[in-house]
Amino acid sequence: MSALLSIRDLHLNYGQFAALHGMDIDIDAGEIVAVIGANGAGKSSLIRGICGTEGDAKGSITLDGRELLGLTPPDIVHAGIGLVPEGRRIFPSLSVEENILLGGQLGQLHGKDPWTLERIYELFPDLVPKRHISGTMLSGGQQQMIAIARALMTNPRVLLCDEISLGLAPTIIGRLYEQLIKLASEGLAILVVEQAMRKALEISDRYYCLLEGHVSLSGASDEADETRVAQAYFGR
Amino acid sequence: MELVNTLVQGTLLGGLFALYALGLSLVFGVMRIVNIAHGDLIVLLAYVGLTVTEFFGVSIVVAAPAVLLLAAGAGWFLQRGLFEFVPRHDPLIPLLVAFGLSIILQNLMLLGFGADPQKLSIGRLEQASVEILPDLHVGVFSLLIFGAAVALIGGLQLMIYRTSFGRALRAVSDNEANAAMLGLDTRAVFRKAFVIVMVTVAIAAMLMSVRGNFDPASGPTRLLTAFEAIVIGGLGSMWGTLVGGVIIGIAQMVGAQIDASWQVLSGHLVFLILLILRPRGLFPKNDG
Repeated sequence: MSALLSIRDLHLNYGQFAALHGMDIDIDAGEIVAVIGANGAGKSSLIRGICGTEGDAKGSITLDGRELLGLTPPDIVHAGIGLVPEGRRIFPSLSVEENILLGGQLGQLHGKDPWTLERIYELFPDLVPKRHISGTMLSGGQQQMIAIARALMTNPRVLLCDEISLGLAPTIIGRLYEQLIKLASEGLAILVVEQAMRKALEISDRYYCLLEGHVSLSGASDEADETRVAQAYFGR
Repeated sequence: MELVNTLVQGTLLGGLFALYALGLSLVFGVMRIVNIAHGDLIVLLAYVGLTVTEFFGVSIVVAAPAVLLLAAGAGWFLQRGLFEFVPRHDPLIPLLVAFGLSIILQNLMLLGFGADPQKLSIGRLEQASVEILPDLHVGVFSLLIFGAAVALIGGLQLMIYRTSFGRALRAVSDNEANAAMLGLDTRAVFRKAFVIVMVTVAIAAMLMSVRGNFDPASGPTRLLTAFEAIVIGGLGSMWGTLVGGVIIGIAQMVGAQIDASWQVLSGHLVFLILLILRPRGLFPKNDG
């Protein structure tokens, strides 16, 4: 029985440059999996490989048995992959609510309970008073909430979070991760890509450490030995 | 009274200029393509209207749905068959493609329809006028054109700001790469957008073809007027485009009072002056 999202021997090339050389990663429903690694270790390439946005990918990425490799990004979102992109990517011409609703136009329902604005605002009550102003007028933490909300509105089975803690205050990061843990407990599979190693290990169930385009170490997060992880992280 | 008359005629003429400009503005706003062939597409659809009316022996009023349908199809085909294959990382490439399209269209129209000016007629309505103020008569058809411009802008605004397609359109216009990364089918958005653009072009073309003469070389002047209306109004503001059109229309009418040869020139002069005074237009979009 393979995992909900199962990545096998994933290679990703940008022209002559190979960013990923054979990566195996599994994520199951209800699980938070952290992917950590330094700059250039292949974290962003992994996200791009799964989303089908850039590069030439080989290997296999299956979601509940269905092969995603070769599908277009819209079809991959339809299949149940939701992306919270690095840098949030909020559209300035759209209000907070419109940014969130845009997600609803992209996905497709897989389970029973579709994500609605009501459920989103229950999860992120901070957004309610701001819902009619431009999305980019909000603070970094609130913009990150919009980005997560937008991804949730696609009704994903797997949520990919790319560097959501970047540039945010620790208290805000803590609150965002609390929400992710809650979402995972409701059955969502979550992959968090993080540069911040310690924080990522703290909130995840399992981790993969990337180094130069391959998995250098993996295991259960609460059993992670910090010196070994640091070695796998920096390659020394 | 003379002055009021001039202002009113100029304002109504501005509606036609705004109609020319709407499609051009949309193509630039969403696809970042400066469609040099826009004026020629207007003239082409005027010829399509002419052909349909002659072939079936009906008035353009009856033929309008068919022309709109043909235009929608042409819009889909233009995007699917041409602009989709044009790389847009360098704005010069689509500009040159559109320029080529413009030349091809002009020559094909010359080949197919000859150089003689053409005009469509809708009978008595063309000459009909109403007295809106004592001693102030306006053409019913001019009012119709202005009404069409207001209605079309209102409709487009509703579409852009109140529908899910409009949401996608604005997202793509903000940042195409981000929209694509999040899984938005940008190709589908572009195809639909070009269909809508060509429907606006068809509406402008049919009204233009009844209002005055057109020939295969009429496109570039329509394009120029459309450009000026957009720039005066401020990029991305459709009501601004209407105001821009009205300003050019009034300038032309005032110029025509001085001397007939001043009509077109004075429109361009006012454009030039406003460009110097307000380079971002009267109603610039706040893009931070």
